[in-house]
Order: sequence, then C-alpha cells, then structure tokens
Amino acid sequence: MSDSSSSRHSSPDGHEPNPLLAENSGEVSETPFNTLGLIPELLQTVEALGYKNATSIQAQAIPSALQDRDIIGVAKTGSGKTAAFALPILQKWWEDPKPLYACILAPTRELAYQIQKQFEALGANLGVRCCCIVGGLDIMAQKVALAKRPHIVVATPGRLQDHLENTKGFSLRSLKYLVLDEADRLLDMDFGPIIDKILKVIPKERRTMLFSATMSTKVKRLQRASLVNPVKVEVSSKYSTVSTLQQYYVFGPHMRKEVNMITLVRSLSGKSIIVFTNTVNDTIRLTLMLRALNIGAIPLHSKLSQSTRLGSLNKFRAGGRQVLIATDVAARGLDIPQVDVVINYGVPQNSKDYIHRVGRTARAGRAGKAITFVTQYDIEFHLRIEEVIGKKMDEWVIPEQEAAMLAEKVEEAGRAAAMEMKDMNLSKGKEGKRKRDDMDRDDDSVPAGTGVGRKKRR
Amino acid sequence: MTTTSTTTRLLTLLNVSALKTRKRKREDEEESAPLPPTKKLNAKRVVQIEAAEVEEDGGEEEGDDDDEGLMDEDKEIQETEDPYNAHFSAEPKCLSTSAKEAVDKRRWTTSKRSVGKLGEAVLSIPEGSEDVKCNGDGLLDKLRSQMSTQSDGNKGEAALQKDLLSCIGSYQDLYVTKHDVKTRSLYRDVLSLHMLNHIMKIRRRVLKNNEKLSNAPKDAEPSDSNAYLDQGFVRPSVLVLLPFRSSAFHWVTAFLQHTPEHQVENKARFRNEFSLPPGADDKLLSAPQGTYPDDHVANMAGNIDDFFRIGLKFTRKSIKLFADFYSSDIIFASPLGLRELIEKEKSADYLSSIEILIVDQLDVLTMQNWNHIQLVFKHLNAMPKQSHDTDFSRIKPWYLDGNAAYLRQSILLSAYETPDTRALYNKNLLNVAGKLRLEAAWPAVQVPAGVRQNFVKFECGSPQVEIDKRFEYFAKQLFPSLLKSAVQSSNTVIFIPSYFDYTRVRSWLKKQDNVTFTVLSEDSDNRAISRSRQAFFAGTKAMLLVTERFHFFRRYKIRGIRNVVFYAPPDHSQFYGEFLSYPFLDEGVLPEDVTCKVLFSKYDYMRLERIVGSAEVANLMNA
Repeated sequence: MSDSSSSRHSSPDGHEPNPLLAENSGEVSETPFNTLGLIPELLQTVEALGYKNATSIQAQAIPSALQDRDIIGVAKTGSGKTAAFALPILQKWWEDPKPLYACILAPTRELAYQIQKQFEALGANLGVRCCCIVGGLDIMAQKVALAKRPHIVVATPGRLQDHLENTKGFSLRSLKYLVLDEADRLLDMDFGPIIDKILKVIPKERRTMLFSATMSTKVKRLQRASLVNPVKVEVSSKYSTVSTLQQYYVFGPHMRKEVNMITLVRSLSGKSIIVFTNTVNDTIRLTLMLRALNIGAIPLHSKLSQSTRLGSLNKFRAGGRQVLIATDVAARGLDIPQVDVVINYGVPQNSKDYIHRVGRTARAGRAGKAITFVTQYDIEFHLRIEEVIGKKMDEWVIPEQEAAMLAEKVEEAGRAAAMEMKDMNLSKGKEGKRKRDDMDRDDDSVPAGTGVGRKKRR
Repeated sequence: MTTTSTTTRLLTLLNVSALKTRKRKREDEEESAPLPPTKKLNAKRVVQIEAAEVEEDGGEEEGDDDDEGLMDEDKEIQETEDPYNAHFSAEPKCLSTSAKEAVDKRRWTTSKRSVGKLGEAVLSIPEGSEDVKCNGDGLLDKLRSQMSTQSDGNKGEAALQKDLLSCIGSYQDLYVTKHDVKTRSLYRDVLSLHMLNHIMKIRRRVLKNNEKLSNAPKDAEPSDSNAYLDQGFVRPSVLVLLPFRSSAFHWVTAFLQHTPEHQVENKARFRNEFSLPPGADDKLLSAPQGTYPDDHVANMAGNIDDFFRIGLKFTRKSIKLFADFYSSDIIFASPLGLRELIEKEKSADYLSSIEILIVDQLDVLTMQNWNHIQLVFKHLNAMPKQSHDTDFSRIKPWYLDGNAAYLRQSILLSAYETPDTRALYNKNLLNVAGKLRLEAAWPAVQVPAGVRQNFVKFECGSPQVEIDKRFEYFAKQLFPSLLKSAVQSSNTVIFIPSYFDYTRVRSWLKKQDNVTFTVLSEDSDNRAISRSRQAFFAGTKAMLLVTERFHFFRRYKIRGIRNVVFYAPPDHSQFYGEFLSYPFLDEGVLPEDVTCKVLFSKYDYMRLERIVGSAEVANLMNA
C-alpha cells in the first residue's frame, strides 16, 4: 500500500471532510451535486430522482473517481455508496461508450440485483445497458444477455467466473472499471480464490474501487485487488451504529422467547419489521406461527430459490407484508426503505453481523428501533456486542399480562407450525436442523469456540 | 492362458454378429473421429483451399476473397446488395419494430402479382413495410454455371427454374398450393441450389472470420466487433421436413448433384437406409405405367418409412451425411423423427437457428400426423436451452433478441390446400420480408360420362358444430333415404375423409339393425382388407366404409360398387374421380346404374373447388 492510501482525501473543491460529520454517516452532506464535476446529463437524472445534496461518501468519492483514481471507500450501507461509484463510472462511460465497460461485484444476489436497478435508474438518460449475473437464475438467459454486450455487468463472483470459463466468446478484456462492493466479504476466504481468478482475466489497465460498510483491518487482503495508488475515503468509524437508532434488548428465559416475540410483534402492529433469526429452521417456524396467528409474514433464507427470494423481498418492499423473517442473507447491503424495527430473534454471534442487521433500519437519517432477544444462553454474546458498539442498551419490557394471555394461542400456533414443517420434511431433516444459514457462503468468521461449532459437535 | 481365452471369446462374438458389430464400429469411428481436431484442420484447410481455388478459377472469383486490400471496397458494395446480406445481416433493414408488430397483429398488406412461370400469386407484406427489392437471385457465381448446365434441355423448364430461383432468392416465404407431381424434381433442384447457396455464403463468412480472428493478436481489443457477427446459436441453418425416407433420398440426391466435386462420407449407408434393400421389387415402379395413379407412384414408391432424421455437414472439400445435428448445416427429417428426438431430449436447440425451412409434400404430411408438424413449428427458432459450444461473441443480435422467426424463410410445397395448411401459412410464417402464396385454378375432376352426381348441402353456422351437424344430417336424412331405395341400400360405398368421423359413423351403424356393412380404414390389416373387399364384392355386406387415408396409402381398386356416398368431399380430388370410375370395373354397368351423393357444407369450399373446378364452386356454394 502506498502512503496515500491511508491519507484522507481532500476534495478538489476545497471541501474538507469533517471527521465528526463522517462519524454519523449516511447523513446528507452540504455538498450539492452540481459542484462535484458531473456532466449535465447525470445531474438531470440525479435531480429527477429527487437528490440535491450528495452524501458524504459521494461528495468525497466522486471527484477523485472522476480524476481516474483508484478508491477505497468505507461507508455504511444506506449512505449512498452505490451512487458514489455508479455516477463517476457512468460519466466515464459516457465519454467512451463501449460495451462491457464496468463490472461490479457484490457478495449477495439481492445486492447485485439492487445495484443493477440503481445503475439503470441513474443511467436511464444515457441509455446504458446493464445486466445482472447472479447464481440461481437461468444460465442460458444470462449467456444471451452477455452476448448482447451490455455496458455494465453487475455480478456475484461465482456465477461470473462460471461465465468467464464456460461462455465461449465472453471475456472482460475490454473492462475499464472494476468495483468490489462489500469488499471485505468479497476478499475473504470464501470468495477470495474466485476473485483472484477473475482478476487474472481482466486487464491490469483498469480502475478499481473497493467499497464496504466495515473495512477489515487486514490490509493484506486488499492487495489482492491490486489497487494502484488508491484514495481512501472513509466516512464512518469501523464499528458504529447510527445515532438515530434506538437499541433495546428483551431479557427473558429461552422457554418464553416465542411468546415474548409474538407479543412484541403484535404490539408493533402497523410498523414494518424485519426479524433476523440465526437458522433457516427458525425462520420457517416463525413465519408459519405468525401466519397461523393472522400476521402477514414472509420468509427469506438461502433454502429458497432465487426467484422466490426476489419475490419475497419485493412483496415486503411493496408493503404487502409487514413482517420479513430472514436469516443473515438479508443482513447486508439490502436497501429497504422504511423499515421501522429490526428484531434480533437470535443474538448474532458476530458483532459485525449485529451492525449489519440493525443497519437495515434508521437509514438515511430516519429513526428506527432495534430490539434484541437475549436469553440466559446469550448473555455473553450480548455483552460483547454492547462492548463493540460502545453503548449500553435499554431493556424493552414486555407486559407480562399480555404475554400470558397470548401464551395458549402461541402454543397452538407452534404445534401447527411443527406439523406443517414435518410435512415439508424440514423439522427433523438431518441437514436442516439447527444449522446456521450459510447464505450461499459463510460469513467471514465464525468466532472460535463459540455457538455454531459447539452445537454441531454435540 | 487368460488372454487367449478372452481373445477366443471375442473372436467368437465377432463371428456371431460379424456384420452388425463391424457396421456399428465403423459408424462410430466416422462420427467421433473427425470431431476433436476440427479447429486445427479448419485453419489449415482454409488457406490450402483458397490457394487451390485461385489456381482453378484463374483468380477471378476467389481472387477477391484473398486480396483484401484493394478489392475490399468493391466487395462491400456488392455485399450490401446481395439478398443474403440484406436479409440476414447483423442488422437487417426489414426487421423494424413496426414490421414485427404488424406481423404479430397479423396486419398484412396483400396484393396480387404474377410470378412468371409460377403463375398468379398473392403477396403479403407486413403493413407499413415495403416490398423487398429483388437484386437478382444472389446466386454465387460458382453455382450459376451449374444452374445453366442443369436445365438446358427444356426451355419451359429453364424458365420455370429461373423464375422460382429469383422468387426465393429474395428470401420471401413461398407457399406453393398446387404442386404438380411432374414439376417436383424441378423444384427440388432449384431449392437445393438455393439451400447450397445459402450455406456456402454462411460458411464462407464464418471461415473467413475464423481466419481473421486467429490471425489477430490475442490481447487486441476487438475493434469493430460487429464485423464478426456471423452466426446463430447453433450450426444447422436449413431444415427440410419430409414425409418419407424416399423423399429424403430424392432431396439429398438432388442436393449432392450440385456438389460434384465434394467427397461424400457415409454415402453407402445413406443408400442402404433410405432406399429399398437391393433386390427388393418395387411394384409401383415395375408395373407398367398407368397401372397405378401417378401421384400414388410419386408418393409411395421407394422406402416409405416415416421415421427418420439425418444431418448433412458441408465443408469446403467434403460433405458428411449422418453428421451430428449440432455440426450439421442441413437437417432432413420427418416430423415424427423430430418429435421423437424432441421428446427424448426435452429440447430442440438444433432448431433454434433455422434460416430456411422447406416443407415438401405438405399434403402427404396432412395424411400423417398433423400434431407432429405443429410441435416442430413450436420449437422452430425458439431460444435454445443450452449453449452447445456457441461462440457468444459472434451471434447475430436478432438471434439474441429472439427475432429469428421473423427472418426465417419458409417454403411450403403442397399438392393442394387444406384449412390446416392454410392456417400454418397464416399463423406460423412470420417473415417480415413478406410471403407469397401461389394461387392455382382447379379444373373440374374428370368423371365417367352420364353418372349423376348429387351434391347435398347442409346448413351449419360455425366450424365448431360442423362435425355434429354433418353427422346429424347424415344419420337423420341422408342415410334413411339410402335405405328407402332398393337400389341404393346395397353395393354402397360410404367414403369418409376423417378418421374421427369414420369411428363415429361406424359405431352408429353397428347399432342399426337393418344394415350390414364392412370397413376399410388405415388400421385394417391385410387379411381384414381382403375379407372386407371380398364380402362387399360378393354382396354379403351391403355397405362399405372407406377412409381417405386408407385409400391414400393403399389405392385399392374396389369392385362391386354401384352407389358412392361421400360423407364429406375428399381432400384428394382425384379420389372422387377414381371412386366414380370403380363401378365400371365390373362388366355390364351402365352410367345410369351408378349414383353419387356428396354431403358438403360451406366449410368444404377448398375441397369442393378441386372437385367441381374453380369456376363452378361459387355457384354450388350459393345454390
């Protein structure tokens, strides 16, 4: 890494990024878009989409990207990261509109899909053609899409590598831009080898950008992406949560967790809620139970097909259902506006996960709540999280009377759910049992000697 | 010890099935051996052959192929004018959004025109589009010389061939509605030339680009990538749908005549499998002329197996029959043969890039199973399910956009029209360049003088109820009137074109206790047939039900007929004449003894037109 990589970037218009402002990122900076050096065509689109001022990350990243610098960006999701790389790429592409101009890699399919949509929205005026290459969807259709020579390819690494190897006539030899979104995850052990392979077949003469919400300190990893003299743009400290987020915990015995959970969801009726569980099994069970109690819930986990997952997400986004019950597949990168409450049904075993999960709410300056269920088994994890975020959470008290009134119904719903799952061959399945959702890959680290490992061995 | 024993065992095995194993082994070798090294061979071959051809042709035609610097500009101009390039270029002009929309909504502008020797025709152009300007037939110079040598015999034939060639050279669709047995081989010749011309143009382009690409430095950025858009998803670009192996035999033979210099692989196997075994006597051919009707001989002589498919691979020096579909240029197949493969493989990717479709003897295909045809059409130019080693950087954009069906040229040849074939023409031919339907006038069928023909019309409001109304009329009015008459209640043939009608009438007749009858249908075996004919001739059975397919495939002369009832007019107009002449096979029959009744509705227009003639049919319909 060269020395400039760690130095903070100062934008050409003399706007010195304020470290304090960077701390509570996601908030809109004072920089209007028209001072960033963007072409009128893009400014028009940005304006039409209703944005006036750039977010901090945008204000810092766009000018240097336009100067053809490599960029390492650290910013929370929801802080306008996508536009921070999409706008300069689109502008550069506009100067030299060639097919297969830029490739954006993202760790999850949903995120890739979202980035593609954003590119299309921002590039609508320019006539940019964008295609999304992710696993789980028809390969042949993607081959055809690639053969049409799109300008921008948004992809998950595995499927892209598949196409590079097996789709005759497809290459990224003319690539000018490579972006790694959620770069810390893309460069970790699971995706690392694939990324290495991809890096071998794309030109060295290119611009590279890395973006992530949490930047790993292991700088070594970044060297793989072979950045040249990068500018580091940072708008958030490593682990932090937004100030507009109110964080609570519910303490109760494991036995009463389900009852408490449902009482809580009922008391929050009318709000849009994401419930995170640690296992696919829990996801399914909770969904079925809530449905049995006439609360519209949809599941999202890796055992669902890609199209179902997209469908679930769209339903939730459109407001058709109020409760989304998900594993960590939905924890990162997803931009769902108007999530009021995030409930951690299981305490995340990794504090990073916690930050990603609660990052789904209180986005872009809005208020939001995060409520974590802590049982007698989870105290250790919970304390660790509190330590990392540097905050003590308040307790959220579930009214006992209310819970008692619901107890019988919940028990009944639980039995019904168990029956239904038995029919689906899930409850007692060897594989499905109490296993952490691997989300098409594993998260970067499972803390040694904790949770999962031990449970498996037992 | 062990080795010797296995060897002996193997030898014994070989002896037992010497013929079979050897045959199979050879095929396998032929099929698999040339595949892996193709790429290398190609690269070398191109150079060699071009050099060779320069020598041969004195550098005139092929010369400009090689000389890229000077002649390029001239060639570009030529190429844009060439109908192949105009129609199948990377961005064809005729493929506009408005034209596609017009085709989808079936808005065609029709106009009448006369196409030289081919006769009168109706031209349909997508609304808002213009007729393609025909720049000659686009025949490669090399093939043109062949064309002239082919048809120097007869002036009329030569003119017909020329008109046909310039007509299909424009890549418009063509539907021949009255394809005469006599001109079949003429059409075959011209159409195979067209196919060959098409394939040669594709292959030339592809090979030239292969060479350019392999010469270009590896890491060079593709500069003008549009230049290399030269292929579809898969290699087969021509499909010929045929009813019988014998038809395929004629077509392949006709095709090979145009390529005398090419070495043909698997020719012997082809002859074995697609003609009759040596020594077999084809009584249709060996019988003196006139014994069997001409159309029957033309259709049914030779190997009439209707389950086959064969790929033909064309390279610069050789032609390979029985090539794997995905390395073939032309596929000859029966609809049944394709259907079986489609159902087995659950896909028909080899049909995704068909640019020329030829359906010959469409009338015979209607006598087979129409569902098969529809299935094949459903898979034509569909998006493939797998990639089959396609170079995706070279696929023409309109393939990727799923527009291949809008450019495919379809050529349908039929001896006569049925509502099914017309529907196929109307619904499944989507060529944005337009389509041409030849209009033929029909003379009245010749029948023995003095026979009274009685055409009985029944009213019905819609085609859906036609079947029921017809049966009702037959059961309630026509049949009782037959029984009333002493003459007409025996020695009566009831001719039923459709098999479904036939089963219905048969089961109904079984319930009638005042009539004896026997049947001849397509599922009668030889013994049943001779029993039936015998019984009818002897008069032990008063009535005989005959289906059209039975007569089509067997063409028996049935004796003992005095009264002929057509449940519906036959599709083959000649059958009408034949059945009216059969009574006179027996001695002493006078025209007055013979009666004929034809039941029809307004939906039988096409069939009736062929029987009473184009001039009369309107009168009859309105009567």
